[in-house]
Amino acid sequence: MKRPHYLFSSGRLRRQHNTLCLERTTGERLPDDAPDDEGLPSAEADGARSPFPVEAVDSLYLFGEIDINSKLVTFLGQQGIPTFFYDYYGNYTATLFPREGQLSGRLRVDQARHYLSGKRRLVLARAFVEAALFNIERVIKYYQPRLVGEEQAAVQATLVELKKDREALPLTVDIHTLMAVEGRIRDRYYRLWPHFLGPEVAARFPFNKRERRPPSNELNALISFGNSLCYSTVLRQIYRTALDPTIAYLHEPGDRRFSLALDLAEVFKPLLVDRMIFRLLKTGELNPKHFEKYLGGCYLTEAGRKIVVSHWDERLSQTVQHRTMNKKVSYERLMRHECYKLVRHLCDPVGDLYQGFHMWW
Amino acid sequence: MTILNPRIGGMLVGYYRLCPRKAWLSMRGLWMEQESDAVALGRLLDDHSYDRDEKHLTIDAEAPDGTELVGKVDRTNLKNGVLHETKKGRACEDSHRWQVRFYLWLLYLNGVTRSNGHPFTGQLDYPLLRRTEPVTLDAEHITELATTVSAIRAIADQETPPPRLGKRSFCTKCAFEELCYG
Repeated sequence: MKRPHYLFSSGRLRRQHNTLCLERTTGERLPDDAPDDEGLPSAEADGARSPFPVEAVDSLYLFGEIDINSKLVTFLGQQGIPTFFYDYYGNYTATLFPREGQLSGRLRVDQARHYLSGKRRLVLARAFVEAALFNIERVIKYYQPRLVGEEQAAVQATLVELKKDREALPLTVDIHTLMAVEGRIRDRYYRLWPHFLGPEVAARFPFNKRERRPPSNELNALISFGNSLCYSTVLRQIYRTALDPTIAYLHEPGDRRFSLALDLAEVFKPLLVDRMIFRLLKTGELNPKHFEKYLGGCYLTEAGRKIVVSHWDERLSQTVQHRTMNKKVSYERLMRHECYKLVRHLCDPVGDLYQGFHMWW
Repeated sequence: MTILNPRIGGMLVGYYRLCPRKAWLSMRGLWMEQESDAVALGRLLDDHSYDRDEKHLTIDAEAPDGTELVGKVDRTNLKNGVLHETKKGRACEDSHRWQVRFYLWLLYLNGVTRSNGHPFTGQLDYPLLRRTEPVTLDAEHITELATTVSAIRAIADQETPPPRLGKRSFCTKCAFEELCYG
């Protein structure tokens, strides 16, 4: 069974015979603080080696300071293992993708055609926002019954507003206005978060609005980190299909990252990222000591990141009974289905209209 | 938009006999085989069976309607004039037979016969079942194959995929299941 592997240690990752091996290093890793940084490893190898079988690796997430060489890159390429790099602060920085495994020229042409036609693009972009909105409402309705008094009234008022936003969706005539509606939806939704978290947690983790680059407080740091995990998970699913990750519909292609992953991640964030955050904070698994502030931002510590990643990994492998396939499907696999739905839409937009994933539980 | 001069192979003919949609998707480069354990097992079986024989012979030909045809035969026994196809199990047996007939047809189109003038014959091998089954090509099959090839060519030009088969019990075992129903 192939699984993603998350490496937090620093050291040299190498190909050893026909498998992978991490040679660990000791010492504290410091971010860009050496003025004469020559790109050499910042610590000495301590002789500890952890070999692990390449057959079990679906993808690699490198959170530590890792040395690699071209031999390893070639090996990862042959094995079809995408590798995601994160910087010292836990920001996603890069992906090392194997040479394209799946190619379909015809599909790529179709993908571009749907982007170029404003009408067709809007159909897809709307579907992403619509599904994201549906899933946001699901999350709200999940927490709603526990709230009383003023909080309950606030949730009710937001649901009414969201309904108006839903009605505004079909009236959007271009991506710009659609993005504006999407932003409004998220704003309203984030304003409810302190209620969902409860007075005790909300007092410890104040949250006013979404801010990134750098994230201004603990919740923003969590959202940023969670979203980047969601994004890379979607990306590794897109990579297993013939879809081109750079051609997107809601997001502008090429803005920042592989935009198609941003489009699809939009649909899954409420279900996977947001509920993970509530869970980790409300159970106290994450507490203020898992965050640190520097350079005007707030970031997760390594211990905090480990908690989030292990919870994320577990969450992805949870299954739900799929309604049309009539079998159990993991959350991660649902992302793959989303890619296939998009493929079907691109092949036959009339007969197989894309409808974004709607939580059914 | 058309695919100019598609090259049609034995596996595609087999696909088409099973499910035209599967044939259409794979002609578009939308493959699902890399996901399937059954397909991986089949490939392994082909690699590790009958190691002493000549394997993977390629035959080219042109169909009466001008379509380019290409066949990759799993295993050949040229001395006895037999083309072999190795299969894991007998599910979808009819489509397997058509695949072998397609290879025989390629030889027929090229005018290749055995040294004694008799046509080649085919054989399906099921090493796991320790069984074999002879396959022959007659005049009726030849007409049928020509029609099949034209039909595949026609769906290659189709903008949208043919409909799903909708036979759940059948489709659940297909490598393309999630692409069609997911």
